Amino acid sequence: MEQQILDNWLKILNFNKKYSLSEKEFHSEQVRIPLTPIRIDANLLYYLSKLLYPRFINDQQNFVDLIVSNDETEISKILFYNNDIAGIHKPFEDLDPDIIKLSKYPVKNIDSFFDELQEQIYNETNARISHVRIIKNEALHLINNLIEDLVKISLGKYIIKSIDVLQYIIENKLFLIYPKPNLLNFLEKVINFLSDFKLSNIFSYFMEILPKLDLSVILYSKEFSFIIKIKNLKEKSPSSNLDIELLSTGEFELDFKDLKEDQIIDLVHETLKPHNTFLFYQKHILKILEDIFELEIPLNRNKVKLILQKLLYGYRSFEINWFRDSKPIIYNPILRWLIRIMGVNYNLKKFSHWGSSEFIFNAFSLNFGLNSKIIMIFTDLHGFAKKNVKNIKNPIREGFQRAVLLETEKNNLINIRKLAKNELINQSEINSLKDIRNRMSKKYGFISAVISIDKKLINTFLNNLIFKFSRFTLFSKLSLVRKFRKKYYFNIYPEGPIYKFLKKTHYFYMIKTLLQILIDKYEF
Amino acid sequence: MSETSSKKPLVAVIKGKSPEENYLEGIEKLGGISQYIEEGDNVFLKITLRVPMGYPMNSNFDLVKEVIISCKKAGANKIYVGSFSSKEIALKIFNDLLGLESYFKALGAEFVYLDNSDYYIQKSNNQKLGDLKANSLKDVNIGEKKIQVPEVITNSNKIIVINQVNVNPLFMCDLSLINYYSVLPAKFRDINYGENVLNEEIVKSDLFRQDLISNILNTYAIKKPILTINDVFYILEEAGPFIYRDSNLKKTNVLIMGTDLISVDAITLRFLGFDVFKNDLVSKALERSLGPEHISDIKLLGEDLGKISIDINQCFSHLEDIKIPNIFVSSGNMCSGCFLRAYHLLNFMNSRMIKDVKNLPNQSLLVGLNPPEALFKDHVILFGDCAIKSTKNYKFRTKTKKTLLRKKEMQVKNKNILTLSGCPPNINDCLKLIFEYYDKSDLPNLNYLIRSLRTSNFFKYSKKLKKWEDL
Repeated sequence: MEQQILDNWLKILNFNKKYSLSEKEFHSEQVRIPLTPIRIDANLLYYLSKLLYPRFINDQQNFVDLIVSNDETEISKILFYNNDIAGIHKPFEDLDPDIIKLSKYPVKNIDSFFDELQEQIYNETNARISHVRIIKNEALHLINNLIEDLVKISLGKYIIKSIDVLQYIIENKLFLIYPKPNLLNFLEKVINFLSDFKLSNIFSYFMEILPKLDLSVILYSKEFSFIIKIKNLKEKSPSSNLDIELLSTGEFELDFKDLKEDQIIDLVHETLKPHNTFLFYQKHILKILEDIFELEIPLNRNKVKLILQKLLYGYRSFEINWFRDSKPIIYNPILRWLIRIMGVNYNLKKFSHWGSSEFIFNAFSLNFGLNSKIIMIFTDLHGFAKKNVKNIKNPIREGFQRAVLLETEKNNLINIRKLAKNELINQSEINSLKDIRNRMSKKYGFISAVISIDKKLINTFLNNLIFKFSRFTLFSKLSLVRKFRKKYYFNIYPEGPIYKFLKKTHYFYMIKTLLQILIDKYEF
Repeated sequence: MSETSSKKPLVAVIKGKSPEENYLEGIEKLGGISQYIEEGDNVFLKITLRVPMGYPMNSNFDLVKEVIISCKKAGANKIYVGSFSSKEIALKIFNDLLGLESYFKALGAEFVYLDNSDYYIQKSNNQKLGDLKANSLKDVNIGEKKIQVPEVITNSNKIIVINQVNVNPLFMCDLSLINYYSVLPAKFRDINYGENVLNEEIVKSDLFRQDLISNILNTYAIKKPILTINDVFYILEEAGPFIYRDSNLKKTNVLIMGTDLISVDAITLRFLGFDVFKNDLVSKALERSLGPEHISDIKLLGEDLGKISIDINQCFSHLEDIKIPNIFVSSGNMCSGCFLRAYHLLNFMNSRMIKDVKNLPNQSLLVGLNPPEALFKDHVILFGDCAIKSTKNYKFRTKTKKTLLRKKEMQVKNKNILTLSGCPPNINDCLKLIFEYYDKSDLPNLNYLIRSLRTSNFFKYSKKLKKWEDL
């Protein structure tokens, strides 16, 4: 293993040995989050390990790391961790790898292997292990290669590389935790489900469409709060524009004691000076993560609906479950009242979490049916022609970036398939969505709809409705609708009722009608 | 009449990976497609077209594709695909929202606008439309009744029925017999009783059901299909045949197809765990010798029915069981007409107007003859002529009010009563009345729905369809 990685790990172990959260004493020490280039205050890493490991991996403290040969015939190392607290690693004990006979207890029979390992370790150490982490040599080799680049490349590029490694390791079963935690189970299922895709490409695309950001997110708990600082500077190249920092309050000598949430926000906003500051409760974020990791793959419609409802419920609970630096103007009752006189109810605190999710899921099942196949084509017209994108004769062909076929059965997403440009696009003709639908229906069966969506629209959508969701900037919201109505930015065949409604209805009536569904009528 | 009617009916029950594969296996078991389609035949594929929305409200178009391909292989000259749809829905809407015309054209078949909606949507020449209608529909006499059937169906050499089976509130499940009934325009399928028939009489003998069964069987007798396919590969259970909130799509992996429609329906009922003789539609067809003489005459091919038959959850048989927030149903004696329409209205409200019903005050919905007194007397919905007429002296018709000055109690007429008239009422009219009766801001879902239907030209096309029907 790289020396600097080893040094970092030993530094963490030493810190863990001497530190106790209950002391409330801040030790000024910086370490790197293992296997990442992110530098972090050691106190925070200690807290995160204590918080996350028991919740997402295993809630018992003793375990072993097992390094095995690729063919699982040989154990090269058994590292025994006899920790005091689950998740807080203390220096390990290197045990004799021959304590278990792989010929008799092969790793593939994991139940009996684990029982035997547990017994042997008990005989050796007088301690009972709760779980085992098995890593094959090939995985170690890949991780070593990855961490060689750790300090040389940007965070964005590092994440892309590590996603590739993670995908390879999981696809090839090079790493295992037994008993298998929900997190690993979820990752395995997602990676297998998306076996047609390179996950790093999805991340790269996400980075491309991510708008410019500069925000601080306070994750608050009475025990230990910390701040995530996210910067996405668009002027740099797409893969190197991301910067994430995890900051503890101790680093800036911030004391949240006896402060209310809005005072905490003001304090952090003044100290770190980001563009926006948000505050969320750690317990809510953890609950949502737990729900996500428990999701079945292929996704079950009802469970996704429930998670969406929870998220929307969280969204409407502004100043109850989350806070932000300056109160958005739309929460001003006088402005809301004025808008309501015009017949528009725009009270985000009454956002209908159940009504909205029912509406979305209903619209989907009615338009596309309970079993459906939908082709989504992603374009980047501005990448082809900086200006005058409306004059591009064959926008699907010229702007083509990627395409996927989504398949649902009983309203659950059961398959996502990548479609190559040459099977979708006919070079010799103008590729209308109608032609594509009929051509692809012969190959893949009846295609319920073909949708083309441009990067510019997704970017505007994310910017307007996700990152600046609570701003009342009428013109930017209208620009989103205007872009949506332009066929080169968004097109669908056949045009369903919801699309026709969004396209043909006057802006005012469209917003008014939708807000009646999305916002609850009664104030109390 | 088909040539095979004199022979023992063959029914293949196939279980497999996909409806298309099942069809190919089934047709082989039935002797191959060339047994049914000859060189130069004009074939009409009667599919399920209920509403212009997604599967399984209509036929599985992958299965239709496979049937088209096999007919073409057998040398069919022309293959037409079509059906009339639910009331007030022009077929052009199906094309606009599902893109059927180009889909079938790409496969070498023709989606037929049986209602001439491809013409009247573009042009408004009544004279020409009248001629077009006269040329495309043929008069057929059934007993004393004169009805019109599309010529493309009567003139086709062969008819194949491709039916999507879902649960049905009246006849257990949507059988091919019911599907085949929609070779008639909605005008001829609609059953309505005017003032001259006593409500008591309609309810007592369930006239609606009797007339409906008789009409369905008469239509079947006009021209029998050569092949019938009941697609039960996926079946909508619990609430159907449309996608409702309580609907569940069940996968059975089975396709049932055969040479005689009644036999295929009978076997489908058996496969789904129903007693064939308890289904009055099929048993009446057997009585009228429209199917095999005995069920035992059917020659079964493929899977052993006893081993693979399943149970499905049927539609609610009591309207009270459809639980909707703030609406409490009380039903009296009713005919199948009111039950059917109320069933769909309630399920629609429960599925598409869920936010609306939560906005409304508690209210009672009374349906049928002599229903129990309203549970919530302040707000009442009366569904159907029977409920309207038989509750004239009910307590909810008046309410007690105190005079302003003397605080003296007095009885005044309850104005919060919404009457949805008709025998049985028309659902689209009911929705219009509901929309007019309540505050629009209380009905955000219905408001959106009406606006989206308007932008999809639904109402414009419906009006033109009505004109066409009245020509």
